[in-house]
Amino acid sequence: MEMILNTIRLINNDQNVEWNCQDVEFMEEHLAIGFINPLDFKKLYLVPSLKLHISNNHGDVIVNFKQDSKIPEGIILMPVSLWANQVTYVKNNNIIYKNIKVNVEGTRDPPTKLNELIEKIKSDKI
Amino acid sequence: MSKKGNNLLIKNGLVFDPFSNIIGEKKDILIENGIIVEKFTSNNDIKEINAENKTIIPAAIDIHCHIASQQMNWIRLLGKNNQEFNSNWGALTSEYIAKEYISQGYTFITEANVYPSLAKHTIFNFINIPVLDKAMLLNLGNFWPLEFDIEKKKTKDIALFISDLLSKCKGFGIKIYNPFESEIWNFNKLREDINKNGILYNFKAINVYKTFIEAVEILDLPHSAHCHIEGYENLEGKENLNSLLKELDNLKLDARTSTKDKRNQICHLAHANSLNIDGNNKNIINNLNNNSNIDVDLAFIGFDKINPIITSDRRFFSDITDSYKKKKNNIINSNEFEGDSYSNFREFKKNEYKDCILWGNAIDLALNIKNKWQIQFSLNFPHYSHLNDIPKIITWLLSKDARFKFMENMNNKFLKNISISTNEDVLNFNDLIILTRSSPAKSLGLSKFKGNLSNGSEADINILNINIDKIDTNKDYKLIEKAFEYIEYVIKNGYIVKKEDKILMNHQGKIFWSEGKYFTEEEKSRVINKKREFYQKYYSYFYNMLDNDIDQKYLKKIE
Amino acid sequence: MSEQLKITCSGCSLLCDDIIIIKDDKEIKEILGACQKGINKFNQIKSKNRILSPLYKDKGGLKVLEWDLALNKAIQIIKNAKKPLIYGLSTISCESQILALKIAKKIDAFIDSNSTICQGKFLNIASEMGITTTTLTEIINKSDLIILWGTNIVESIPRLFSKILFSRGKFRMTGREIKNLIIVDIYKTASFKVMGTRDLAIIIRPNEDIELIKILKKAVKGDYTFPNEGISGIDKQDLERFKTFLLNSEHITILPGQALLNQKTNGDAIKELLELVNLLNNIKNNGRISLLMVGGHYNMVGFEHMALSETGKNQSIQFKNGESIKSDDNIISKIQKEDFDLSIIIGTDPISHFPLEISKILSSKPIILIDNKKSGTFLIATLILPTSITGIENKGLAFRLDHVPIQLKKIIEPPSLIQSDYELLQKILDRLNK
Repeated sequence: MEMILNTIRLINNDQNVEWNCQDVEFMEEHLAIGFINPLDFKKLYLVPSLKLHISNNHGDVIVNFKQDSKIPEGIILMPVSLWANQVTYVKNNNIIYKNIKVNVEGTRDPPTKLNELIEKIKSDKI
Repeated sequence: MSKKGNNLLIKNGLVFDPFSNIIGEKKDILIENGIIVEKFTSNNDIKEINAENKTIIPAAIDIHCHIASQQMNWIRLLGKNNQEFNSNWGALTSEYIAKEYISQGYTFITEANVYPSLAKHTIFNFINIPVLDKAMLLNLGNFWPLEFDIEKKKTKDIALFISDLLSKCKGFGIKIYNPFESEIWNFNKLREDINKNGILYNFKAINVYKTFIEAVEILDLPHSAHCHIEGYENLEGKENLNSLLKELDNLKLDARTSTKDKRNQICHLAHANSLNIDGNNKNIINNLNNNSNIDVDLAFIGFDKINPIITSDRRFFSDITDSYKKKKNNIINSNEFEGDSYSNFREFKKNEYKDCILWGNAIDLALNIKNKWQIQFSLNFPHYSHLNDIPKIITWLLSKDARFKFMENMNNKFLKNISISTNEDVLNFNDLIILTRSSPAKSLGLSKFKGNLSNGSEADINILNINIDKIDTNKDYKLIEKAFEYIEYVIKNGYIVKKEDKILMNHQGKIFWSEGKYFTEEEKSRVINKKREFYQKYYSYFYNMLDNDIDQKYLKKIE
Repeated sequence: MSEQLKITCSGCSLLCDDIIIIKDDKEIKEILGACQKGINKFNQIKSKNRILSPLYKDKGGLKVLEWDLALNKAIQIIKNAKKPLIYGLSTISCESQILALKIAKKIDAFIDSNSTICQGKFLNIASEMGITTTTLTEIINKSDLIILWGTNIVESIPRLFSKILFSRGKFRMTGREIKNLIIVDIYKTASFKVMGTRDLAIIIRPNEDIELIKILKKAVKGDYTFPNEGISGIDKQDLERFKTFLLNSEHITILPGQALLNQKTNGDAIKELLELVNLLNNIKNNGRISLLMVGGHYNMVGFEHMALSETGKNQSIQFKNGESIKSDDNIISKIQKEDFDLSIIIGTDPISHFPLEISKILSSKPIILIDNKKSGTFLIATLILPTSITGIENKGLAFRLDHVPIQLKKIIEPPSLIQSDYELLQKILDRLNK
């Protein structure tokens, strides 16, 4: 399903804090996450045990999700992090962190691990 | 090379040192450990400069400029894509400013408008501007922590607080700027009269000048209260000036006893040429010719194609920018309850009546104020002129030929109506040295160190490649212009910082500061504790945050 | 012996100076009055992710280096580079920023700060259009309307509201009772929780801020009625109230956020907002309206000022032959064009912050990382030089979000053999000058 992704800053899902003090598992739990409206939860035929597969032309990532009725329908919010940055992109020399068109589906695969993301970045290393 | 600079012997130069009444005498200048001496203590390692046929003068001193502040950065920001600004003003980077000042023979500058909250920024910039000695004036015109003291006329408490502020911020003196106008902050509504009480404070704005002047005298600060007149370049400014002159008359403070080391004035008027925009300067000339309590700096106009506007005067800015409505790219910043700053660019044009008046006023005042020690040369740099206009400006003062030639294509109304356009008077070379060097030093209370060549002074010297005695300053003005364009030597504390084209930037200047008369901690704490409370209540930081944590090696305290 | 000290927190750009700590000779025992972000900053001291020695990555993985060797390695890598980048600089002192600029000048680098992809965009547009800004004490004492536009202050600068909204000012003696709040956002963020009945909550459809600003511009001029159905998901009544607030308040401060920076229209929303501010200041006879930029890093503003006074540019500075030259690039375009052969990253984590496509290119060239803790960039970097924490283990000047300079103090000693950014950069510069 097509949704609009916005990256945001949240005090309890702050990558700076996570990098600082936490274990990798803790970090993955707090940063590999998307927030969606319960109506979208239904539209996506999600069940709590599923994860979200978020993708667009720029990349893809699997994250946990939480429902939050404050979030408008059709919008998915993610804390600014390595995970969110799998689908952000550059336009006119600016990084686009907001209003990103993404495709969102439920998946049984586990959330993307930190080391998988790092490997992805490293993979083309000359 | 000794630790404190070269031992230098400057031989056979033609010396002008107005302080010592030396007017064009052939004389040797001896420098040891950065100080001018009568005799060397040892004859080792003495470097000689042959100054035969050359003219030796003290280094220049700027009593009023705006070069190290947040506001300067707003100018840089506005100019960052402006070709004209980048090529003609070198983007006004710290290094460029230092180089330009040294090239024009300066070794000391006074940053004349610093809000206490932003003092750290200025001090930080000072440290990164090499060679020059610097000082800053704190702008306390809109300083609400003093509101009740002013109302209750507690001048001594005000003095105590100013002293503490200066010592925390490392300020040198104070500036009084549009007193308490910030109670209204609208751009369209300006107060009608500084002789009236405020809406939110219970005294007349004009009283603030008086109170601060008295406080500065209690502290006996090196420099007097430095007064800005609200609404300069504007007819309201003239009225405000007249109000202040009247107020000063009523003040009846005893004239200061004239000593060599100290200032005479109790009030300094900033860029006085901008105050009588009708071109009639009689109020200032008469007052100064009858009264030694006031002195003025004159900010000469260089007619640059692009000129930064650096001001905190809302009336001036609102006016100049009726343009405010037409011209949108102003950077306006209100600072921590202490006042505003306004930044933009403008162009001075010889066919603009008002611009010519500003130009003419400076010359009119320079010629007609009799005691040249009451006048200081400035540019209000960079507000009115570029430093590299100085050689040209000097010729307008020394040569009527140069001045009349320059006036040829000036505004017709100006040429017809304004008396300066037909005045044939000129200054002599010694007057020029007073205006640019000795008088600023005296007004700042620094004549013990600066602006003269007597024994014991800091060795801040210019050597000009010209023998003034052998030329006609009126006719040969081109030669004078050239001599000031290429000052052969600039010496700072005994270091040669400029020799011909080469400028050395590895010398670090000092930050001059003063807290005035000493008060005991007990006396201070009574006042300061109340101020701490005020800060705790109304400020975004505690009073102690004003403390400037800088290395003593950068500082020089003036008692 | 333990002692109590009042210190300044460098947890975010607010630089609160009212934090109390209790410490002994070696360590901080207790921290009072800091927010969650502040506490996190102090937690860095003993974080298990702290970097405590220089590290170099070769085929065998990360290797611990002696300092002297590490510095030599750094110099060698730098000297081999022809097109180095220096990036970050928002979490070091102004003194260190000056040194970084000097190094950039020395090695003809392209230097840029985090501000380029953040609040610095406002200053770039302000350099063409002008701007009316203000500072915290002004807001405390004068503001009667605070507008949060696309920023969730409660979670990004947690104590800002307690300073500017829940405070009594000299001209605003009744405090919160007279200070109104408008929040414009696409959903009810945590910041909405402070709202009272007189405040105005505007939920706007994503990416339509610019429409709202344009309509407000028309409305405040007086010759416009809002459509009955409202706009961008906002009721007509709320639009009317917004207009009334704008016209009748005496001192308005707008805090614009990333949402405006990231409009697809590429900066136009900021331009429109600056025009609205200009317009209101021209027509209002009862007050002033200003902007307050709310960048997050504790010394992001500092770099803009240091760069301006040293080079005349606030960011994205290309040096060539020791002079700053005209360049239309920013850090993103430099990386995207692969116009670099080394990146020196100081106190930031671009690998976590940049989109994948950019991080990939960045990681394809050597990276020297100067920082105090592990990060995404740490996992990729070639050479890692650890430093102490400014504001805790070493002192320095920083600029608060409103451009007011604040002194940071040294409170405790850094771990052994760990020097400050200033000392480290000075050593690098000295060795480069040799």
